[in-house]
Amino acid sequence: MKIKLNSYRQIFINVVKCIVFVILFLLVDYSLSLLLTSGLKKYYGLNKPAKILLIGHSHTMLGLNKNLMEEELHCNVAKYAVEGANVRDRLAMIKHFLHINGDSVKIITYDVDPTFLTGSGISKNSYTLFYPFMDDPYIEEYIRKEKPKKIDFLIKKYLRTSRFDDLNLNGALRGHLGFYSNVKVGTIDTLAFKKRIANNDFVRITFDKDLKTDFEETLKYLSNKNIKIVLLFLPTLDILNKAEPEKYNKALTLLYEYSKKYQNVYFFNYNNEYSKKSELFYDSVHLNPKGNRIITERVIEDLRKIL
Amino acid sequence: MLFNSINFIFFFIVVTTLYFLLPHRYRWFLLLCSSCYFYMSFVPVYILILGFTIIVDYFAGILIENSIGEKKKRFLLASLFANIGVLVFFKYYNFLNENISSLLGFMSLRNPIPYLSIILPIGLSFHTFQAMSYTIEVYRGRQKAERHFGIYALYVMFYPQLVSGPIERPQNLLVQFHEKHTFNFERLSEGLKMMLFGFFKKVVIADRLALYVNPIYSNPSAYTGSTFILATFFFAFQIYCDFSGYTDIAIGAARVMGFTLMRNFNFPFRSKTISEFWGRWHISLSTWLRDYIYLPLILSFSKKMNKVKSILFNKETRIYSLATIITFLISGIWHGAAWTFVILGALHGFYLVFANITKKVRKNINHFILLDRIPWLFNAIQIVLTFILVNIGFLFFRSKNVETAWYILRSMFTHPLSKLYPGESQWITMISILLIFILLILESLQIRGWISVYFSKSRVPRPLRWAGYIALLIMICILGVTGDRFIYFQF
Repeated sequence: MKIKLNSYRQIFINVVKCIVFVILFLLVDYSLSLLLTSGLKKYYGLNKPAKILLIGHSHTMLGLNKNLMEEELHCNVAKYAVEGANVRDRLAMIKHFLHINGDSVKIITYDVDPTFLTGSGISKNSYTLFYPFMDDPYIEEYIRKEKPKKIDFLIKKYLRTSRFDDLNLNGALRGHLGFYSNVKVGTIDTLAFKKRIANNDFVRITFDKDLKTDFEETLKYLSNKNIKIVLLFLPTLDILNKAEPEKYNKALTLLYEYSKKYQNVYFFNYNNEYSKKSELFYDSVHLNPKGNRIITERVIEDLRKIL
Repeated sequence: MLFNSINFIFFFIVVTTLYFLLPHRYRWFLLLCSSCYFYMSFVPVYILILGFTIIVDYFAGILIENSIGEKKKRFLLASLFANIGVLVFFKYYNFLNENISSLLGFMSLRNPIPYLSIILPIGLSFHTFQAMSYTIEVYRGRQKAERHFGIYALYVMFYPQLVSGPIERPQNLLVQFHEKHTFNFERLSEGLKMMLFGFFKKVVIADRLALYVNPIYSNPSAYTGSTFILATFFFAFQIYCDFSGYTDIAIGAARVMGFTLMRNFNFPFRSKTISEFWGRWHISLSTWLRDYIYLPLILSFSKKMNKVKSILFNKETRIYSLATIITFLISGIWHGAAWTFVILGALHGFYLVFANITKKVRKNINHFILLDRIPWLFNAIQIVLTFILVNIGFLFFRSKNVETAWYILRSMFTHPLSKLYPGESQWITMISILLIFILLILESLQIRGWISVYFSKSRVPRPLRWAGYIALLIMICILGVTGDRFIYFQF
């Protein structure tokens, strides 16, 4: 009887140990996810209202200096730029930002290039980068639309640190450290890039109907909110621009048409001035620190005119 | 069903729960059915191949036990022929055929043997060797033939070690299927910890390092020396964490149910010699090759070498060298059907033979330059040199073909300081390096007995230990590489 009692006691102790361990794990998981999410919010500028919102992907990330813009324009600037974010991602990002920060935004710069309607040309599974914000109804709705596996979705929902990956872990750390500058040092090897073009090793311009619908929805949505949208074509290397001239011109025409159609839409195209200056580029589509500074100054100058 | 999948977690929980709920006499049936399900989740029809070798070996075992003399030997040979036949057909048919075609091509002849589109059955090399060890042990009289067909089938198919080993011996594993295992919290805890560490090594380190290694080895012409050096260094840790992580999960899963599988890795990158490396790396294969190939070869050559005379080396050296080279060639070809694996085996065989021949010379040199008086430096140099030699082997292991391997090796030596490719992102590469450091620190703590290694008691107080487990779990959550991960296309 005594042995049995002892063994029941042992079982009880072990069960309690397990429960305590699980609770501890969930507590750490929850706290850490809160910490990382707050860092990520700081990094993207989601933590405070902003007058100017920079929306985009790596072009904006590497091409615009948020701190310099804040200093020069004397207002808060949020840089919500996510690597590989396509048109659909960005609509979710805009809704997300506006949901958190209300009507503070007056201008949104939206980076565009000839591949802005290219379906799968930029990245794969970009929706996974938004898992950290899945508590936000807009983001959750957007992720659900992307149809992730149910089990993956549930794991991310309840195991909160699993929402993060390398990229947003990096963002969260940068956010907490106040390290917003994002640059890639180096200059493109134009000869090598010409060879790549000759070998057809570059992203092709395509026009995806669904993305076009999403893009138009974005413009309508922001027009209704009376927010100015700057379609910002940060320069891309002229060698790349000349690779598919017809499609390139078609994309540009489309962007000009949008700026004419909507009163609140502006189109800033910096290619004519800068695309030939290869010393400003890290690679064919991303600016290096020198390019970043020059283009940011130029964007500041142009934004002043419409602010 | 891969170990690093959600499906496996559910499968494991269900099977383990049912295992302890069922009476002992039905447990073998549960394990056999679940092992069949596990195996069939890869290519279902291949269960027939496994079934064939199981039937052959089951009856061969009984017949070997009941026979004597030549007849006994014939039954053993029949069993080995069936096992090796299946292995050769499924793993080496096309490799042999390609080489025959090349050979005939030199003589301007056409190869009439057709190329077959064969998918390699999962874990074939592992369970074939395990099955062979059973019949050999029965033949040698060190193991009784198993009369229970289901239990014998389970010995070959036991799901935790079916796909990647460890390659068990009947003396260790078969007997455990007859034993009654009661639920034990301590074993559950030990098994889960082992699995946790295995998942960490596999999902966090190995799969992450693969993100850097794969593009480089898939398209080597786009990269140069320094990048190859880093990629090969990463690959060494990738394959170690992948394989040892997988066996940790296997050993842990078996442990939870009360089974003790043999240890398969023992800090191989701490080896000071190649010989020591093989005593620490894939131990179940090394000991298999030692017991069933190397030692019989030594025995056989000892009888035959008496007649052969050589002025270069003494009899022992000749026997050792020949047996070593043959064993390692078999080891190389066991790993894969390609010339790169043959070279891998030959290279390691050569390392060992060379080390044996130059033993005295090296000792004298070390004495002359006073290196043997500074043991820590001597040890460090030995570890680094061994690691470099092993890495050259891994280079062949990972390369698509011999030409690629040679190109990479040449580039490593001719352009070691060329521009380094930072990876998909510098941040990911930095995390990879950091994780290797974490692994080395954890292993150092294991060697010093602070952290549990292969079910030993940990000296770390519970709060710290729990913090460690939680940290590993969190790292798996955040840094674990999953199938649906974000992929940024490089421009």
